Amino acid sequence: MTARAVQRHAAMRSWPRLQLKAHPTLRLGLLVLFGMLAVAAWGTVALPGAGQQDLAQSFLPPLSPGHLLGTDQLGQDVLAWTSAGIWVGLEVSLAVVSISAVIGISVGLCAGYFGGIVDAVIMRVVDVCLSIPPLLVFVAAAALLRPSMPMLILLISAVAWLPYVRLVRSVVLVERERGYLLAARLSGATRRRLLFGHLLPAVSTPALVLGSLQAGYVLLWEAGLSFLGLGIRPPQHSLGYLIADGRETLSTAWWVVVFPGAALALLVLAAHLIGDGLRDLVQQDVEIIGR
Amino acid sequence: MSTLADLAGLESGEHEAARRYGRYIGWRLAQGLLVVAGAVVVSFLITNLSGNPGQVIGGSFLSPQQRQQIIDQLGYNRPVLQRLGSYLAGAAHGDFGTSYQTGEPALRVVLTALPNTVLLIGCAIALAVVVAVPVAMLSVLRRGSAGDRSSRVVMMLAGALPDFWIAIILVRLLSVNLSWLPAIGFTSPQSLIMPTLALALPLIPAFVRLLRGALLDVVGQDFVTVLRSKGFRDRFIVAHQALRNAMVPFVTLLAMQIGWLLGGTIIVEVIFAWPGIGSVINNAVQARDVAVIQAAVVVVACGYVLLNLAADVVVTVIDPRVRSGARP
Amino acid sequence: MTVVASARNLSVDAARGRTWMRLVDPVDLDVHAGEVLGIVGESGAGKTLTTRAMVGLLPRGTRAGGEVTLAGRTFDARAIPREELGRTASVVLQNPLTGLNPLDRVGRQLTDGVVHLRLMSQAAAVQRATELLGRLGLTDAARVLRLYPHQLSGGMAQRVAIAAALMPRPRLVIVDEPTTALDANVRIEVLRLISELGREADSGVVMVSHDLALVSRFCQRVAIMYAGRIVEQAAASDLQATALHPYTRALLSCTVSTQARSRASVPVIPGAPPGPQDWPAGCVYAPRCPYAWDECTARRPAPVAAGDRDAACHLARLPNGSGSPDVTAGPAGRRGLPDA
Repeated sequence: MTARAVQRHAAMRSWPRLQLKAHPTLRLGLLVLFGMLAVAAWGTVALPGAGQQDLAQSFLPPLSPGHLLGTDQLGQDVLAWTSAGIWVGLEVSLAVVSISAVIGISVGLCAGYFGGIVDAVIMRVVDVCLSIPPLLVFVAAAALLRPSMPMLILLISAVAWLPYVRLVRSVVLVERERGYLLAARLSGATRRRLLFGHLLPAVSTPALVLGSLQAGYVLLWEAGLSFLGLGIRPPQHSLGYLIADGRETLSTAWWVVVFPGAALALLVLAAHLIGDGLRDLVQQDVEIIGR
Repeated sequence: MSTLADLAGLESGEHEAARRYGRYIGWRLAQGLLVVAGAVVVSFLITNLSGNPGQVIGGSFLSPQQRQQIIDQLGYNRPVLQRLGSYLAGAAHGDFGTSYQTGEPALRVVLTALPNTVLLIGCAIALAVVVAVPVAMLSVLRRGSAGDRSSRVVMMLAGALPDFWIAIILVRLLSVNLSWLPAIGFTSPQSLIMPTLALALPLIPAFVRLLRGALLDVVGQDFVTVLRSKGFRDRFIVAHQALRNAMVPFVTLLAMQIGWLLGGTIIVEVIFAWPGIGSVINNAVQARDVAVIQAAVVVVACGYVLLNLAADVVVTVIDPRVRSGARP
Repeated sequence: MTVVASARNLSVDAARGRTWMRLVDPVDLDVHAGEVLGIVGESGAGKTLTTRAMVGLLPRGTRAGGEVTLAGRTFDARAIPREELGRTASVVLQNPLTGLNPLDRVGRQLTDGVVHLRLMSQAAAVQRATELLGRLGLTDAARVLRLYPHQLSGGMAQRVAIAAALMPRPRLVIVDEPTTALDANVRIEVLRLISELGREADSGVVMVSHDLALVSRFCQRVAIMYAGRIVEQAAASDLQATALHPYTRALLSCTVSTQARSRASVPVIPGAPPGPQDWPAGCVYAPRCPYAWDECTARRPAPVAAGDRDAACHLARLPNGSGSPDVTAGPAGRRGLPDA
């Protein structure tokens, strides 16, 4: 490494910036996300509360007056419920991603930075935990605990932090190979400055990519658990629960299943698009001229 | 070890390689056993998270007297550490407790249902691979074109669909409306079709993405340039050499994916009333049958370990570098 | 001497969004049988791209322009048939180990190309491979054929790569930076083998390198590339004696001779070559040229030819009729190129 490059790196590493113009995938993902948020906002604000039952209005098809997406067997408005479900899903998703990212990144930084026995122990634990499919854990645990949103968030986070460890650890190992960490240390940087000023920014973008992809999976897991009755239940609203609700009467009222499912799929799609878009953003362009 | 190698007719340099490889396999086996042991512990933890499982066993299906009877019968009235000890001891020779519902050993309940799930997963994976391989190859050959980019968005949409949602819709369309296929249970080979489709559909985009990434990595390597200079067409290279090389990382990832599916078929099996592990787990969960839940967690973990070992073996067959102990 | 391969108006562009950016300006090249042509230039000068364009092996996202003639048949540079390439040309890459597929045995990788193109039978191919390896110094060829690439040493891998290149009896062999990945002992050996290649098989060899001294020693003709253009072409001996282009002169003076006794600092050309997006309107070397004058920044110099050499410089002037080129001053009042 040239002297100038070492110097540049030894100064605080800058945080990554986002540029939207050249990335259609990212734009599309954000577009879908904001579209869903707009629908959900309108559904919550413009309509009476979800879960309001009115048996006189049960099984109304979509485009009925006052019920754009129809009603279910108890007269509950599908749009209102779907909107509430979107919020709940996003809440759970964001909470899980935040918690698991914080835990996972911390553990990963420790494993990568301290190395040695700490690293070995952490990786063994992670390997064991990763060998058990998460859905199984959720189902088993959710059954034995009282289902509620905080518990669900903690449960999913308990599994979701694992991939961060592997990712962060490998990034740290790569960064350690480069000379600038040693240079910074020699020029007197404290350990905390190394961790927060150099490694954390380096790790932030891959972690962000992973986080958005995970957000999609969390949405699916939450919906699946709620579908089985083990997740979020009324008075809170989940897309999964609504789909289960409508399953019995699928032949007469298809809209109770199709709309929440479509909303869920679009949210997950947005998460994947954003994740992919971020990943494209992060990768250096491979110049043909350069090496 | 050296006698075996002599018998195999290996030269002296290859003795050392065989020994290194043997050590590698041994280490992988040890890791696997460690994982299984960990899974046993985790299974105990899960069921004891909210206190003594005896309090929840049976759920709402049992009256308090019945529950107390079962607690005494199955030993849930003992202190935690004692239960942990006897659980671990039992696990060491395959005893994971008894299902309170049927009185059968929990392990047997799980293992009886296992083949059905394996069959279902096998079909789903086979279907997904058969579809994903040509799609991934095409995507690599036509990368950058408008068609490729739009097909990737379509793939992403397909991957975002929840599998239980697809399952429900499939049932409605193919079974209720059109009466083509049986909706529930495992009554005939046709019963396989819908559950397989429901499982495979979200898998295909994931496989395409994995394989495409692996293929792109290979295609960017120098030896592909050399192959082109020898006169091989791009189509031929991707379908033959590149695919073989891409199989190495793909097989490893595939094994992990299958392992995850072992426990992930729960919802689809419930919807189709498929008599596999998923249904058993769901049933056990609804009835709070603690022993069966524990056994299921361990069986699934074992399956995961076995699959990863199988993947290692396959990689060995494909990649000669692993055979001589030089890890790629 | 027969020409085995030539390029006319060969250019390379890279896709940038909706437009194309020029990476290699139109170049003309001839490769003769039994001769080694060296292409020399700094990283990014376009040497590799030029050779790839000559055989239709450009990477995705780039396109070629102009015409290429291989073994007597002329093709549009955009559409060189892959089979033609396989039969008449070969490429030897910089790092011989990465040029081999790690999953296949060496023998298979030597024979697969020629068998696929039906140039010879499997048995004949194996025999030829054994023969070539033997001539390249690997006497236990039968054992080597059964090895996998990761079992080869660097020197062995380089010989295998050369053997693979020679299998189809190509008329043109392109060798990339042939010695960067090897240690010194093997280097001389490999270079010697390469220079014999051309003579033996009556093929033409193109050697791409950044090392002018090395190229001058092992090549008969040299082409100097700078920022996507060929600035000078000449016989290697002529180049040593009298370089016409200022860049060539600068390169020659930068070469540190092993006999140099003085501790004077190594001369360096100040500045750096411009990237393709920064090519100036006139002569591309003008910003760094100590002899540049107005004409140089205004107008691109066309190659001035004399006999079998040419140089793209306004200041390279040739007298009428006389055999050797003569570098004289420009129009009255301007500085000219001092004698070499």
